[in-house]
Amino acid sequence: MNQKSELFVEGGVPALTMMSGNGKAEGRRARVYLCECGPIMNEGIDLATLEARIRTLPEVAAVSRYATLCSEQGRTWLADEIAAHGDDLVVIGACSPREHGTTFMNACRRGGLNPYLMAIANIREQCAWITGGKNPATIKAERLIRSAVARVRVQRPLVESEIECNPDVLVVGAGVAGLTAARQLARAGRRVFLVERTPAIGGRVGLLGEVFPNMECASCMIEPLMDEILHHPQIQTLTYSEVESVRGSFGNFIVQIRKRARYVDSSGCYGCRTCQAACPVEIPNEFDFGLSRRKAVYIPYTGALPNASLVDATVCRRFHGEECSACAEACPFGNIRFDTSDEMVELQVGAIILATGSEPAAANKKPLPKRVISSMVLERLINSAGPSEGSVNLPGEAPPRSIALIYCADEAGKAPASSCSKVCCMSMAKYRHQLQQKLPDCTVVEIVWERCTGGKGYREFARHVDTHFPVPRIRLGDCDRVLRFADHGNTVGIRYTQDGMTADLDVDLAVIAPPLRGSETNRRLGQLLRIAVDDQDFFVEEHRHLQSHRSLIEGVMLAGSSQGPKDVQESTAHAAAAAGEVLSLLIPGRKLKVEPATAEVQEDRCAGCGICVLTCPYQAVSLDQTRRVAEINQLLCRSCGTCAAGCPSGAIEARHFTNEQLWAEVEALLNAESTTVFM
Amino acid sequence: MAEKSIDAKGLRCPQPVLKIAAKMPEMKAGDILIVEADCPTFEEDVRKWCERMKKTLLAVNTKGHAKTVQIQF
Amino acid sequence: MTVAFIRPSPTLGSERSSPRTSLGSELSPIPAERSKCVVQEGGRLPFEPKILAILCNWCTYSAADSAGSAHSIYPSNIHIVRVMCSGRVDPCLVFEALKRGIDGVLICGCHPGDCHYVSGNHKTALRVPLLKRVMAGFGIDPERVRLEWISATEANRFVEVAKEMTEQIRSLGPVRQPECR
Repeated sequence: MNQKSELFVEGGVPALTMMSGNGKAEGRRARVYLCECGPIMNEGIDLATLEARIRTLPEVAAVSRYATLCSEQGRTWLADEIAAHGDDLVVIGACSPREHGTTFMNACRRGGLNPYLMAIANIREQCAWITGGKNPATIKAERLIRSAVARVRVQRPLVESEIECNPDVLVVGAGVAGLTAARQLARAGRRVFLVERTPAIGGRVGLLGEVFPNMECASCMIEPLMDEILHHPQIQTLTYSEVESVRGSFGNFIVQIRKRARYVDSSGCYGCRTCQAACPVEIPNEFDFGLSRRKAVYIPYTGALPNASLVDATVCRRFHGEECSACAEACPFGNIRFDTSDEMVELQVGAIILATGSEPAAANKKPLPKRVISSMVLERLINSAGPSEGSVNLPGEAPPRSIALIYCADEAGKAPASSCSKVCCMSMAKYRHQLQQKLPDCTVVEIVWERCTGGKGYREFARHVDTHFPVPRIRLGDCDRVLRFADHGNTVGIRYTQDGMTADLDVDLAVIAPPLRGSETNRRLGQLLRIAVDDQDFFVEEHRHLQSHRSLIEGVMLAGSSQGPKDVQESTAHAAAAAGEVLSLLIPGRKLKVEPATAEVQEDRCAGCGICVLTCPYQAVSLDQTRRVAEINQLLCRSCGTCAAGCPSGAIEARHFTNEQLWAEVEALLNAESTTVFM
Repeated sequence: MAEKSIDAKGLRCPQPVLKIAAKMPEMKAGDILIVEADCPTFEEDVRKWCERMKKTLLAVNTKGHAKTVQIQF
Repeated sequence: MTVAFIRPSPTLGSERSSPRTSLGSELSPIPAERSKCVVQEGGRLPFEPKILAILCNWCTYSAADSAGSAHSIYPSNIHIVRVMCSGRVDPCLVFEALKRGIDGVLICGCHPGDCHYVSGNHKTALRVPLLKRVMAGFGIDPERVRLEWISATEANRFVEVAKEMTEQIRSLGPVRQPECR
């Protein structure tokens, strides 16, 4: 081991001795440029003295001053200077690097010098302006300049490189957010792959009847959007498909999609439903929450797009050993094809947008009496295209004579502590409006803790409904709870507390609004993409306020309610933001700049312990299991340096912030031996 | 030249157009299909459908909220 | 007592063009005329602590800049080194600084939960207490290292901490005995 090159030496070798001519520097000298900042700098620092002192250093080739380096003339002057003295490094004594770091890096580029061969000494904000006295300030400025000179002499010219990127985009989820994002991208000329897990596009909004606050027809609202998507030459829609794996990184993702077999040639299917009439298998329809029935060969719901049948292999007799071809024989066009199978499709895209939406929480998973339904079920009952054709009755029954609307109770029957789901209170107001029209003789009662009406036109609508369709409202306090539901055959009993007193209510139908959570697929997708989901299964955004449409993984965007509860307006705007981000980051023909000051593993030092992998929140560090060394993806690395500080072997170099460079700055402080430095 | 009709009143988008598409196998060249619907985007949807499928939209009549279209196949 | 290696130098054995012969820069020593000490009455030199402040770019370094804009005065004993994240702060570097004569080290980052790089400051929060235990084991007062969370809007807090720490380290005295300097 070369003892002279030790950072950590045995014994206590005084810094001064270490520094005096021990070994060779690389022979590089620095040119120091002091910015006068107009008249400002000289007020705090004696620039003439500073200049004179710095000039005496052998490591410094020259010192010059300029009135305002950041001005246009200043920048040109600086660039010319740098060009004229190409062999020298550059140190700039000026304002904070946070202020003009980029300015000076650009001047280096213009002058033909690698911008990483420059260092800035913050002699304004962190010296001239904060030191009590010109003399100590000048001395401190000298120390800071010496730090910068020491640092720049061990800086390296980092390569600023570019890579080709793929401008195509994958949108996961074809609800209203995914559709919006896909359309926006396609209109800009990008190729879009839209992958939807269910057989139909449109998501939850496709199941709604009318949307608040203006009671617009939901399907009419999104139908033009869906139509454009399905017929757009730039968009390839894969329904009944799921993301299986994702490799690569921003600009170059490789995605495997499982396109599940429909067993029906969708391009030929007219949706005539002859096959369905012939099918012998009947099961509850999950799209109507079990309130209607469907066949094994089916179209999910009335008006579903694409309007094509599919065979549900989990219930179809043919896939359970029986010989049945009823649908294939019935189809007038011969579109039923049992000889197909799931297809794996590989897509290459540059960015991914997750628009997988949200769903009501577990309330439906716990068995509830049949007369307790969730708000989405009531939505379907009210919908004229739904299982009751708009008569609001449960199958085989007369319409309810009394309905209790229970706002915002979680599984335990109390007001949930999780994030407000945004849409439930307004949905309840909408239902009151609709019930008044459809069932004018029905008694509606509300059980409410608090009501949230945040949105344009929302409070007005809620008040309008309150005024014109007033209903008894049972107001619960913070400690009150809905205790339980009791099945009374033709009615359901609701036991609740109000101001601590227990009370009972008996109604034909009780409607609950369970809180929304991220889709159940979010967790799995999050693992595939290494994006975190929170405890409500919503994807975690990059920054709550400023970057809620971005995830922490570069190139993966979040759109709509997959990131947090949103109404339709917010979902579509959020999706447009995600699409906009992709459009501005990935431009066909333009290469992606790779950030040079990333971290790098020096493999000969790496023991393969894997500690670095754990430190990185961006999943940029991985362990090559065969070679037992760590690897850092240069596109994913965000240059924080946490892995470098955590490596027990010192095997990771945090470029431009190496231990060597930081130590060079420290050494200048150490070198300030004398106490006169501070006087 | 046969004339067929569909009453799609009360049906919401996209069902009226889906009904037209489902009827298509029955229509021979020259036949006319009359469709009545009251869904707000009905006219626009029919125009797009006719353009795509290369059928002629003969007439659009408005009666209150409902519209009646005539399509020649 | 010899000081054990914490870990080998990162630059050892690298294939770069010239072997590093010392860490850092080998700047020439301060010219003799500037290192004359002012001798006080009684011949004792006033002790001025050297305090290294390693600040994260997004939070505390920005706060220090704001303190500058506000012209808030704090002692020039504080020497600021910028890192992108407090997670970059290598405890070995801090330890070496103390060993070589830096009297105090101030490490500052964003408040937990606000790290620009998500969790870098969480790592720092784990590393610094361990560092302090190692320091104590070597007879270096753990008070010489201070970890603070200072956001970009807390310029006043930065100034307060800078002043406090300078006085505290001053009262602790030099980290190395005078005869070793």
